[in-house]
Amino acid sequence: MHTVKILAPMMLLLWMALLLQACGIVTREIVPMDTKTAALSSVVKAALINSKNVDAAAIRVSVDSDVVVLSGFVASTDERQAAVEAAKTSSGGASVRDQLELR
Amino acid sequence: MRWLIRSLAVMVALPVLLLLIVSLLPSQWLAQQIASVASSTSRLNFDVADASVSLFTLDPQLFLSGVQVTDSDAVEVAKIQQLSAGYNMRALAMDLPFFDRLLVQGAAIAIRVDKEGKSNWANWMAESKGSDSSTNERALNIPSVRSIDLSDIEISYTNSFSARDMTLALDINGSTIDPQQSLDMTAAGAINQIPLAADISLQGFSGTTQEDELEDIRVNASLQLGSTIVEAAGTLGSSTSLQPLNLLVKVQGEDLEDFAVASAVALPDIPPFLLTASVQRDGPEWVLHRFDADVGDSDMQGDIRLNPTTSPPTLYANVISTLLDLDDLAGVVGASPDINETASANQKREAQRVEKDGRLLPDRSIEVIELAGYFTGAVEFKASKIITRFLPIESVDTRIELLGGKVQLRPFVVGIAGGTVEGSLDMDVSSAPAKSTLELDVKRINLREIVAIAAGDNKALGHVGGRAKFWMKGNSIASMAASADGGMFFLVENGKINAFLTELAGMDLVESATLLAFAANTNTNIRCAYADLYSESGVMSVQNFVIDTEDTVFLVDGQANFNDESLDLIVEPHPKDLSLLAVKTSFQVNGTFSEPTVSTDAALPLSAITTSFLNSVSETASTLLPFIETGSGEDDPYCAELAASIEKTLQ
Repeated sequence: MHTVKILAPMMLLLWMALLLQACGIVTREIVPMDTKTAALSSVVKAALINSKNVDAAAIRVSVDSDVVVLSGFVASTDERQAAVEAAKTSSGGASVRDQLELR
Repeated sequence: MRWLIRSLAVMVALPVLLLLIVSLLPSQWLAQQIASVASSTSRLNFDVADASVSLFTLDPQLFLSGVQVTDSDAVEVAKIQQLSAGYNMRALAMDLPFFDRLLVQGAAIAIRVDKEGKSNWANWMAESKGSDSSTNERALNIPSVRSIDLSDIEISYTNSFSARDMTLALDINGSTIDPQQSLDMTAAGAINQIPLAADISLQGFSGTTQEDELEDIRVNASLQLGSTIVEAAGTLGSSTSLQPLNLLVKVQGEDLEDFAVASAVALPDIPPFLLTASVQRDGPEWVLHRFDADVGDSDMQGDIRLNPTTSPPTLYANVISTLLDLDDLAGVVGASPDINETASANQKREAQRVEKDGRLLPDRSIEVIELAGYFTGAVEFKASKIITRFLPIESVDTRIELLGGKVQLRPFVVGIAGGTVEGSLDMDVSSAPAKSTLELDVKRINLREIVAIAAGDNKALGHVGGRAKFWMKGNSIASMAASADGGMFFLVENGKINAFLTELAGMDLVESATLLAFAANTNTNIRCAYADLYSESGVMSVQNFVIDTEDTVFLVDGQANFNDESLDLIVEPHPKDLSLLAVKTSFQVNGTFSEPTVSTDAALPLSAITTSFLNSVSETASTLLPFIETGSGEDDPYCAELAASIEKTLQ
């Protein structure tokens, strides 16, 4: 009897888990990033964090067809220039597209 | 000689004759003349029913009755039933006040301000001669009268421009020249429907205006405004300049609602409070010296200096709290304390509303924002011990610069779980809504303490560090968050994660279900975790979010929408050793901030995307290490390994 008491909730949970799995409630997957793109964006983000004249928290780094894209927000034109410069320097010659918004 | 006697006789006889004529004049004719003179010297219309004078005495008196004052629209602004004024002729020869007695029995004064801000008394009231046009301060001129008796004085004030009103019944009696006699005033009525009762006694008026002859006036006052009680006792040097002043003041109230309604100025909700302080004057400044306050469960001490004569008024305060319950400051930021906390009736009602509402972020305006815009100056605030149910906050240290329409919290340092959150908040409160810029550096916060509060689990380890910057608009925390542009990144090292998360993700379903059933309390090490989030118009999206445990890498993607407080996140586990695993189960987090829901996913095809994600964070993770390192020079073994593991995977 004791065993039944333990097994009953386990079986119920197992059944629920299988049911959820069968139903496939979640359908989307995280879109993978290719290694080169990941490496490039990582290096640029790190450079922005290291730059004293840039607040990297508000800057988004992405890569579009080997072009580094900076988006997000900067507080001044000086910060914008510093961000673009840091991105160019760290990306090893890759093109940098400036889509930063000045606040 | 005869001509001299005649001349003297004429000189004496003429005034006597004149006095005689005046004394014998019909009272109604005299009343009309007085009303006519009063009307011609003001823009108000005076009507006096009866008047008489007694002149053949050293103490001549004027009696008026049935005085009615109307404005240009013939609307009544004042009414006096009986007025008697006595004069002291001996004052002409001696240094005594000319005004001897003033008796008013039954009067009603109506002050009205229309919707355009125009007062019915505006054309009548002259500018005070004691006022300095360069400042806002006006001298308070109390006439020197040996005996004052004003009874049944009713004052009504209606301001359609600022939506304020007041009714007051006044009785004043005593002397403003006799140091042995007090000047007592009692008042009862209401300000903006808040009941008001005041009892003020001033003793020590000497009647002189010579500063060196002034003696201290002893002040005893009590005031009840709604449920708020104010008591004051002390001394006042000059009744004209109100200084030097030394009052011991005690204020006790349920909240600031009474003051807020009475002054028609929005003030923050606070719990019941008791404040004692020495109120002093220092030049034009009013000083709350060494105040000691209990606010809810918190204590506060310090000094406050207010100069109302500058434009805008200047405010400097230094406040220290040895025990601060953050719930007591909840109202200051538009939030509500916990229902079970020490709170005012208003706060308890608001807490119940918020609980029913289901939203996590407070949506009430932060009243202090508007208030801060009125002043220039600075407020320094330090709290050395914090009580809160949310985070293990240890201390608060900030300086609030008030720049007349702009407010800066700089520095803003909060000690949390062995680490700090340090940054600044710049607000432009002159714009509507207020514009804000928030910058925060998070350094070496101990996850053990954070998780212990959040989940009752004290086995978590590790530290979190990072940085955030947001531009926001709004006057409430909810509206600020809903408009936030910016982003933040965080790094966690050497932490632990609840076993259920990893096991559910990486092991077969039977084992996961078993763990779920028995609520396993084991933990798995977090080697390193990195989150890079960006926000646009209050929608915070994941750019990179990876949690690297010993056997599984979790990837997180999705959004948290601060506009409707909704969550749409997917957590995807990627086991490192594919051969050991049967299935890989991701799960999704939906619902709202206050009620998140978690649903499991169907098994996903295994892929090597972990490599890319680890690669994407390795460089940045290493860069972030200073945020969590102690400065001892020790290398972090886990986040450093993250980079190594990526290299290995890439080979």
